[in-house]
Amino acid sequence: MFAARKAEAKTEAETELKAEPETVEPQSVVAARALKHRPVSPHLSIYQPQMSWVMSGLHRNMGVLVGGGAYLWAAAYGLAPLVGADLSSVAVAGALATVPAPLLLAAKALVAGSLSFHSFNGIRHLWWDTGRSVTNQGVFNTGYAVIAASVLATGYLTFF
Amino acid sequence: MRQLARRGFAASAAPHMAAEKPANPKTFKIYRWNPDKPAEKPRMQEYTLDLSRTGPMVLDALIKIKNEVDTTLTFRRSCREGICGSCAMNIDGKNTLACITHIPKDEGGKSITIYPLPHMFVVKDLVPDMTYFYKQYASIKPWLQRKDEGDASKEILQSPEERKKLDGLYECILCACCSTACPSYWWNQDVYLGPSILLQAYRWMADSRDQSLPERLEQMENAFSVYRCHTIMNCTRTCPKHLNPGLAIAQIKLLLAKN
Repeated sequence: MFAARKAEAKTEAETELKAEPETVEPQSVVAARALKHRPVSPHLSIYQPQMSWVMSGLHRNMGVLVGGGAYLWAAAYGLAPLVGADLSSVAVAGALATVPAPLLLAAKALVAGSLSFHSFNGIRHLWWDTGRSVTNQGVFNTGYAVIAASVLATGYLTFF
Repeated sequence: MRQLARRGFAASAAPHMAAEKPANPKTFKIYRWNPDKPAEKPRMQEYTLDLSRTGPMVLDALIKIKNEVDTTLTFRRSCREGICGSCAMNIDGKNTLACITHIPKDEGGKSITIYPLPHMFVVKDLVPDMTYFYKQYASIKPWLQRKDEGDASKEILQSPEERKKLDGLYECILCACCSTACPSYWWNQDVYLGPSILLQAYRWMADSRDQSLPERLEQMENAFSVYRCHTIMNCTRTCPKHLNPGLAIAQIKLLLAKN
């Protein structure tokens, strides 16, 4: 009886010993899997909105809007006669006259705002490239100056 | 060893003092990701601590959580006085060192949010993989390079004015707060060196004893290493040592334009 129990215990212990190497993976395997799945920590969505990078983002996007818009318009103007469309100033002015005033003003504000902000901020970048105002205080001072100038210019270009 | 450990985590002790103060709960929302369960997505876990029983700094709170609430919370820390750079992380949207950041005084029970340094591969929880960052650091050869052999037994002297040029550069602790605050570094990490490494690069360019300025500049003569900097200035804004990596990069650009 005791012998039987002993034998039983022995097989249990053996199976346990045998089972262990199969369930525990080598560290290299665990590490490799973790490496494959490791996430990139969150960035743009969690960073505090700061004048520095918000204005930089606006500069980039408004530049794309105004620059890209100018290229597209120039291309369309050049190609228009080929497809029989009329993009002359008179025709465009006539078409715009039918657009509701609030919509027209909003569109003008967007283009004027992008153009003036990108221009003034471009001057700010040239100033920075001389090595001046490259400080926290400089970023604020020049930033507020650009915002003020852009607001004035946008108002003028939109309403007059 | 036990004695040492207890001293190391003394920030969370002192319960005899806390008994006199009223409870002041504060919630910490902390980014968690466990490499042992890689299929599980990263998540935010909330811990509420009594600030009247917690040290004043964010690192004190993290250590208290690890000691008393959740031992699995993982983060780097060492000096607890802002000189080692280990506990760099994103606290309430800003990159900084947890050890020198005060826990904000309670504003209507506002919680505090903690992420690892942005746009880095996560090793675990608040621990980012710094391997590539250090490789970039090594790539700029951050040591004094001399061309003339000279007398090795003699010091290479510097005038006070020459030494002054290194102020604001040598203090960098390479915590990577600035680099991981930089959108250009987020999008071009593989080719752009980032503000932290560029500040170090300029530190050696500005050193009057170094004789390899042409080689150091030549390394920057491409579209990416330095010119991915678009003067966004998140770097200078976030530096916990109040240095100016943005200006150092501007100086490199000026040197490149002159040479």
